[in-house]
Amino acid sequence: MLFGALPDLSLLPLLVLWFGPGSVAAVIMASLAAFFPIFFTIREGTKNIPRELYDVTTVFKSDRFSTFTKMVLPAISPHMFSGLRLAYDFDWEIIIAIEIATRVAGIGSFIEGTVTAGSLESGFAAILAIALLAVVVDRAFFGTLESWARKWA
Amino acid sequence: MGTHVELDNVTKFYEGQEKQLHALHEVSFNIERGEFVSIVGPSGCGKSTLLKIMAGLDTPSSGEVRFQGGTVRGPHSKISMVFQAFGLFPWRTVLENVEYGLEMRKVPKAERREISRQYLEMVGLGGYEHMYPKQLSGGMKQRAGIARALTVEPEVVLMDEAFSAIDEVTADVLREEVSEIHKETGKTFVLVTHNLAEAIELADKVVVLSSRPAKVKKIFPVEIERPRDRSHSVFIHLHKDILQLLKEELESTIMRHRLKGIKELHTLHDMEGSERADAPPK
Repeated sequence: MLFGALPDLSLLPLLVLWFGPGSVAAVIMASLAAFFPIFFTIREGTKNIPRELYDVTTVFKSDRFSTFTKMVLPAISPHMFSGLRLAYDFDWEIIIAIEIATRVAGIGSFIEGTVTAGSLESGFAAILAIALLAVVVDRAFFGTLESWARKWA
Repeated sequence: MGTHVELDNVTKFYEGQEKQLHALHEVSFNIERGEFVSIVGPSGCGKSTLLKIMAGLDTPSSGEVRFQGGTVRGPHSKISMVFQAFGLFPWRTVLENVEYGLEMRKVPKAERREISRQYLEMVGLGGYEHMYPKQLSGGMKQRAGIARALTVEPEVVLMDEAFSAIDEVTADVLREEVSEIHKETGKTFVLVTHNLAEAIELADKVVVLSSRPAKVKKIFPVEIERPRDRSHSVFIHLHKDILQLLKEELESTIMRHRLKGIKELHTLHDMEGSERADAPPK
């Protein structure tokens, strides 16, 4: 996703070289992976705001702050939500991959450890736990945001 | 009565990448207090630009617009606007949209709700205040747009092609209501439109602009009593006269472009050095 074409994970060896195999590299990697889906969707949303709505804010003498909070922000919010959701999905992949690749302690390395040791039950339990967590966050957080947007969009 | 808005030699150039676009050329006319003025002209002539300058959304390259004697340099709290595509915020309910202008003026919530409800009643949107724009028809959206423009108690209401995105029957009803609102409130209205019959039906005077760069071609006073009947003989004659003028304007523009085209063709021939027997003399 980074610059469109470069798969983010290819940067991981460099990050590990510079920051060591730990949370710092993981957080930087996850931030990079999250940045571009959010950036591109917000840019798209901003471009889609009709010129007329800016004229409305001007005619009714909105100040810059209100124009941002009461016009631009709600106008781009559906795009922003889908960007956030994309970033969230990407980051799950990235985090698990980093944990497995760099053996940082976490649920990813737990799956890797238990499966390699032959304890498939623990591995499946961990995978199930991740799936459950992902669904709950998806429904509770993104579901709420999107159902708000669906009311009017 | 008295002059309310004055347009004084309003000229507008837009800087293009290669050449300047001359949109308005020394447009001057006066609008009296309480008058309903329609502005018509060939499409793309710059009539919307003129309205935007009056709204303070754009600035003239030279000349000025004066409101109550003072130069308009930006949006004015006594000048409000109704938009072509309604300009409603889709994430706000009808009521929230209508109170937007008052909200920007920091009017307390309870007060602005009450005022907004009154205007919603006035435009016949009483039961629809909690609906979102997407649930409304075009005509109802524009009613909300009109209510929003009126809540801020403007003295001048600018309407940019306000009826053109609405189906004809609904637009007809809405025009009658706008005419009624104009009569009751005594506010000054300025309507930009390409619909000639609509312009005549509503206006005390119709300003006809020329093709780009737009100049005032002619101003027609409309002295027909209201409510107006489109089959009234004076109405029909006026419609015919203005249409004739606009057609002439359009034809002369086409001729101008043709002549320019022929000139360019000649230059091309000259450059190629081709002598043609049928080439007209220079």
